[in-house]
Parts: sequence; structure tokens; C-alpha cells
Amino acid sequence: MTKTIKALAVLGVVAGLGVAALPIAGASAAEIIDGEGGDTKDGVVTDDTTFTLDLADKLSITASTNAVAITPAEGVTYAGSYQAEPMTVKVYTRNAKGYKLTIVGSAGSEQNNATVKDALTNEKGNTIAAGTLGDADTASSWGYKAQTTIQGGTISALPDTWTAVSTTDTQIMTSDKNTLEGGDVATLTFGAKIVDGQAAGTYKGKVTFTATNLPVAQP
Amino acid sequence: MKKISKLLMGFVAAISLLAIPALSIALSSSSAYAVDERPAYRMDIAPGQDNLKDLKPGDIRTGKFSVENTGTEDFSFSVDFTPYSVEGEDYDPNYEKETQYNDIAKWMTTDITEATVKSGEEVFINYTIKVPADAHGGLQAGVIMVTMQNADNQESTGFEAIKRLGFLVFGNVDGNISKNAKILENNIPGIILNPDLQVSSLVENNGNVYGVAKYKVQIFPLFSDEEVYTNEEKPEQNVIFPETKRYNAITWEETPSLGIYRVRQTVKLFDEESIVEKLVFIIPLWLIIVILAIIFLAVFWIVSRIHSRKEK
Repeated sequence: MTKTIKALAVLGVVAGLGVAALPIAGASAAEIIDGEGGDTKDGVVTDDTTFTLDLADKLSITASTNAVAITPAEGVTYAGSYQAEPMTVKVYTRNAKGYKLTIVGSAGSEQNNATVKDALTNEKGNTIAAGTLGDADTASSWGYKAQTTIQGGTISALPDTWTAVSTTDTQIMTSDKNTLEGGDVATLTFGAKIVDGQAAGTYKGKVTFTATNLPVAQP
Repeated sequence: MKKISKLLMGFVAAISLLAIPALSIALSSSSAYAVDERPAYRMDIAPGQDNLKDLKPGDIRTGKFSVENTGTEDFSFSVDFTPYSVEGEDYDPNYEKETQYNDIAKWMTTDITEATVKSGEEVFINYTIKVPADAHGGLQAGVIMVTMQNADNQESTGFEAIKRLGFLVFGNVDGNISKNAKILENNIPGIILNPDLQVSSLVENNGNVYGVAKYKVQIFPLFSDEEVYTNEEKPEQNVIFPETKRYNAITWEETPSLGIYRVRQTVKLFDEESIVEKLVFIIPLWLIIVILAIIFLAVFWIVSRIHSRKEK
């Protein structure tokens, strides 16, 4: 056997394996059923099978953590910038018209008997108010920055300014269509600015993330 | 003969080069789907809403939805009811404002107000809506809120993050109702430089019941009536709440890079209808630059020819 023919044979085997591995779609062959219905002229009998798949409209929420600690930045011992590790909230929906994800301050009795829902409150009732952590602010404040990843795309830019947590639901992420399998992701970075004179203590707060589908005529 | 065998070897080699990556893809495709890593706490509700459509005063409606634990840890949840209204053209939700359109939050009850769901299991919530006999006509919209209770406590300075899902319930109560609408905008661009072609509209519901706006888009080539795209068989729909405006956009996902098309959008809400048809030029920016450059060169050449003739 010449070298050329041997080489051709080897390449041919490899080519054959590769072609077999290619995803080639084709019509399914008719199923042969013995002795029931259909045309029997050529001995092939066919039957139809109906498949039904019910996909329920579903809405899902998860967060990377249930409790967020806000700690001083490097070099800060008391007054200055405080920040938390970023947390994520993920929403998944099959609703064709999409969803809304909101955040609202919801502190209450379990947060040092808080009376201001959007503030952090210590054991003595002193508060750190919701705010935008402005450089010129003379009172301490806390807030957040939100980034979103929609439909598996790239994460949005980190905003330059902080947003105050509110006592009314504020949208942080939305889409006008159903999400991909992995869901849409909101990444939130919380921070605080503490000024001189802020009373010592353990300040606690609470936020609630709510996801609701947008209304559809035929869910 | 040597030439023929060389050609043959080359051909088979080319096929083989294609075959090897195909083979490796086939062998690895069994692991192409990543396993979903379940988080510690994840809550699902299914379905996500109930459109009650038409209600009558005195009606009693029932329904159910599931609360499923798709995380790895058990959790407890509580149930309560909130009003539902929307603000702005993008329908931002408001779960606190009470209006004549969300009394339904007070009409709803559930058989469960608190429960624990083990990991991998689900709990069904049966709800009942009793429409008062003296209920006024118009939209009613409310939310059954399912709030996950946290097992973790925040010990240091910081906050607790609570998660809840809203099961939306809405419908129109029969009675003194009105259906009035305006189609405020029906926009089709004239020139687009980059795909995709997008048409938009803004509708306003001035009645007191919710309506369903329908958006039909048809795209034809310049000199033909055979549609290259249409959603006529399944027009896009939007629920429009009373005393609101809602923005909608439809994108032609397969917009070509170049072409001239007739685009028609029909928007309808209640008895109001708007039909706009426009010629749309799809032309990439680089082509516009090339055309302008050619025109500039042609003008420059003509002027220089005229100038040189005058000099002669």
C-alpha cells in the first residue's frame, strides 16, 4: 500500500468521525408500528404523538447575603468613609412583559426600636440618616450605589453619586421582557459618611427588596 | 497521477481540519450546560399574577399560587396585602399609595399568613377576593406580598436585607365605567444609521378601567406589498391602567444593514386607533460618509475642469 493511500485512509477516518459529530438536523424517520392504522401500501405505518409542556409563569428572588455590615475604610478610626462589601440581588421571571425590582427602607422594632424606617439607629435612639454622603454634609448619612446586569449583558457603570434609601419603594432594576435562565442581577454597594460628634453605638437598619411582574393581559 | 493524489490529499485534509474541532465540540457538548448553583435562600412564586378580567359587585373569586423554596436552606415567610398603582410612562410600582383603584387590597384574604418551606419544597397559598356589593366600577389592583423572614441577624453596624415577591392581582369591576383613550405618539424613524429599527408609541388611558393596547407592525420592501416582517398574527399587547400613560417600543431584530422599507405601525386602545406609515432609510454611517466623499470629489473635479478650461 503506497504512502499516499495510507495517508488518505487515515485522513478519511478522521473526516468521517468529524462529519458524524457535526450537529446535523434531519427529519425523523417515520416510526413503524405493527398492524395499526395508516397507509400500509409500502409497509410503513405512522402515528402522531402529541407532547404538551406547561411552563408556569414564575418569579424568583435571591440575594447574596441577608445581613450587611458597614465597616470603616482603611485608615479610618472614627469619622470618615464607611463601606460594605457589594451585595447582589438576583431576579428571574418568565413574564413576557418583565418585572420591577425596588428597594425601600423598612427598619422597625428589631432594629433598636427604630422609628425612622430609612435610617440606621443605635441602642440609644441616635440615627444615621439616609443621604447622599455629600462632602459638604455636616451630618452623618448612609446610602447606596446600584449597578445592573440585564439579559446577561455587561454590568452597568458604577454611579458617581450615592443614592439615599427612601421610605417609598424606589426602582433599582427593571426589564421589559423575561429574563435569561441566570436572571438579572443588581449589584449594590452601601456606604456611610460619619462626621465628628456622631454618638457611638451599633447602628442597625433594614431594607426590603421587592420584585413584582409587570401586568400582562394574558399571563 | 501525483498531482491528482496531492489534490485529493489536500481536499481530505481540509475536511479533516473541519472535522477535528467538530469532534472536540461534540465530545465536550455533554458538559456545555453549567449546573445551577443553588444559593442558600431563594424564593419563587408561580404564577406571578392573576388577571381577574371582569368582576361584578358581590363576586367572590378564588385562586392559588405556590411559594417554592429553590435554595438550600429552609425559610419562613409571611403574607400581607398592599395596594398597587403605577407611576410614570415606564410603570414604576407604588405599593403604598391608596387610590380608588386599589381597594382590592382590603378585599383579599389567604388561607396562610405565615409558613415555613423546606428546601426543595413548595407551599400553596389559596386566596379569596370578596368584591363588596356596593363596590364602585373601575379598575382594582393589589398585591399579595410574600416576605421571606431572615434567619440571620445583623449584629454589627449595618442593616438587614429582606426579600419579598409581589403576586399581582387586578381586574375591572362592572358598574359606572368609562373607556377613553388617546394615542399621544406613534413614532417611526425616517433614517437609521445602525440597526435595529425601532418604532415606539405613547398611549393614554383617560377612562377608569384598564384596557389592553395592541401594537401591530408591518414592514414592506419599497416596491412590494409582501411583508418582510409583521407581528399581525400576534400583535404586541400592553395593559394600560386608568389615568396613566404607557410607553412602548418594538424592535425589528433582523433589521438589515442597508435598505429602504415602508413601515406601518397601528396602535389601538379601546376605540382609539392610530395608523402611521413611513418610508425608512436604513443606511450605515460609513456609507453616508463614502457617498458624501464621492459627491465632494465629483464636485471638486467638475470645478477644477471648469477652472482649467477658463485658464486656457
